[in-house]
Amino acid sequence: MTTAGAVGVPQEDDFEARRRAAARRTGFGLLLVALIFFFGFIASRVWLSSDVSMGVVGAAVVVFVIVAVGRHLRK
Amino acid sequence: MSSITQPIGGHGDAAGGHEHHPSGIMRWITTTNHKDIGTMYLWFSFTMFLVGGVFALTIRSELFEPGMQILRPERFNQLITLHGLIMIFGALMPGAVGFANWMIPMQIGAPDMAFARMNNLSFWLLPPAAIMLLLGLFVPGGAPETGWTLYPPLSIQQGMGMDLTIFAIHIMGASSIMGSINIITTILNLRAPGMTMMKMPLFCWSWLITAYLLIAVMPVLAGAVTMLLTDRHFGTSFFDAAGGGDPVLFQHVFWFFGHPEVYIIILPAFGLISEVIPTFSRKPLFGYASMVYALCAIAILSFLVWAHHMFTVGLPAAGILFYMYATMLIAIPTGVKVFNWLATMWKGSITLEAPMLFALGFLFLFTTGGFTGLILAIQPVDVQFQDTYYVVAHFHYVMVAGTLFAFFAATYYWLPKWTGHMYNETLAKWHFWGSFIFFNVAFFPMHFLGLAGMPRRIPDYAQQFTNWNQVSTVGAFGFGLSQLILLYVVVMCIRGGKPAPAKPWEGATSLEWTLPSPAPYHSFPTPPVVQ
Repeated sequence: MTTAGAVGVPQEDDFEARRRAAARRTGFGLLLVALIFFFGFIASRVWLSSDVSMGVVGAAVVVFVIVAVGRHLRK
Repeated sequence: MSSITQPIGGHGDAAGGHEHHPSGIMRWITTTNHKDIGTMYLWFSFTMFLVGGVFALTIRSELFEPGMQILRPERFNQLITLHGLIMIFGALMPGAVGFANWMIPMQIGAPDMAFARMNNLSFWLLPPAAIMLLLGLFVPGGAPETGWTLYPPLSIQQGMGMDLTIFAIHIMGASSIMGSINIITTILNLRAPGMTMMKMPLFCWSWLITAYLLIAVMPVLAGAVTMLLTDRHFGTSFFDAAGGGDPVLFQHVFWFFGHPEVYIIILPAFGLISEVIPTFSRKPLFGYASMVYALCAIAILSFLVWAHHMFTVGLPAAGILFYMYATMLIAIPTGVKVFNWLATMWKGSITLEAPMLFALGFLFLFTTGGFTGLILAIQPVDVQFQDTYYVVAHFHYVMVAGTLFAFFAATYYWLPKWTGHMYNETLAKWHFWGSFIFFNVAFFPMHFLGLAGMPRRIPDYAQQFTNWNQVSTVGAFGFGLSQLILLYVVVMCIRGGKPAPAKPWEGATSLEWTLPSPAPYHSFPTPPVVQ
């Protein structure tokens, strides 16, 4: 994407390309989180006891929300 | 909040307004335009609101008198379940997503949502899911009789309608997750130059946080109902006590989803109200940063209080104390928000157009619902009120008077921008007063019924509860009929009326008001610069 800018593609296109790539990265990252929670919850219940399963998944979810939301507060 | 803008290259309608889009039915099926998709979400939400409302009125008709009138008990319970599921997953959540689709790109100066095709898919998953949910009424055994919580062991024993419900929840969950990914990505990556996070309109902030909540809890709910499905059909015993499973685990998991879900529904409403009140007070929002921090605090605390829905299942004393105090703690950030809304109005130049009336109605009624929530947070009290009509009154004050009134406020607020016409203010005010009065007639008596000990989810009741039930039923029908005014006002506004200027509300400041009314089909192809 940066090379496209270097070979003379207008700056606007380069900006758009970078923005699309950033959007794809964000989207895939969030999709991954959702999939991990879905399969992680079922797997944790298969392999762990109720209490431990709930604790692990609960902690993971809360940490995700704190980190995800919290990192935007500085901007 | 951002207010002064300087669009690059004209007024941001470089695509030329309304041309360049397909017409007819294919426009709606294949559209990737955020405004079209937002419109479809809102109409879908309203349709589901009417369907869920008809179920509610059927329930209230049955409860008009003691004894069995028009429904068999199992059908009554099925309607209770479907009313809850349809209102939450079919009406309130898609309604909030509809507002997000319409307004977030315009408020942050983006040309569209980040993943436009996925946006189309997110919407079109909903109608089949809704049909699947309703189909339960027509299969052997009928729809689930479990209530929207789907607790085992009853949910394991139900007929085919339960499977349809589980699949419907899966599909709606997938739609919500896709919608959330889209919203987060749009907000994080497509903001106009100069629009920092702390300059974003509060509606965008509220949706950003809501979307994170959805991504966190929807997969957990999907996992739980998947395990319910395997318990029903594949011989597992996750929740089946007969096979060594733990039915209470399902309750924990359900409410681990279910309580944040309450905030998933109410946070966008907070955002909407935070747009309306400053506009009609002609003052900037008081304490913007504290509003953002309060939203974050509410979101995080919402994960730490789920077991207050389960005070009667036999929790350890330490657990009860923790959940009781944590629940009360939520009143602090919520109180910050209510204080800030009041402070915004303080010495403002207030006018009472329909959006502001609904916002004030929201403020009054939601706070009432919040107070009864505090009462229910006290465990010794909750043990008495568990599964009574007091709880029904509480959550309808939060969900209906909270979210729905905010939706109405936002609909009237942005209707000129959406349609290009001003709505009929007189009828809109009739809609408000009809909704406000009949809502209270319908739901306030439920507090008395609950305090007197009337249990919820029963089709018959003892004689002494008759009077207030009759009042409540009359109120419910009045509230339902009042919504037809909204339908009429919206349809009339779409068909014509006084042309709306670009900024019909003097106090409005966010980016969408820099666009002409109706908003062009392609807005902000060139990002504006936010100063």
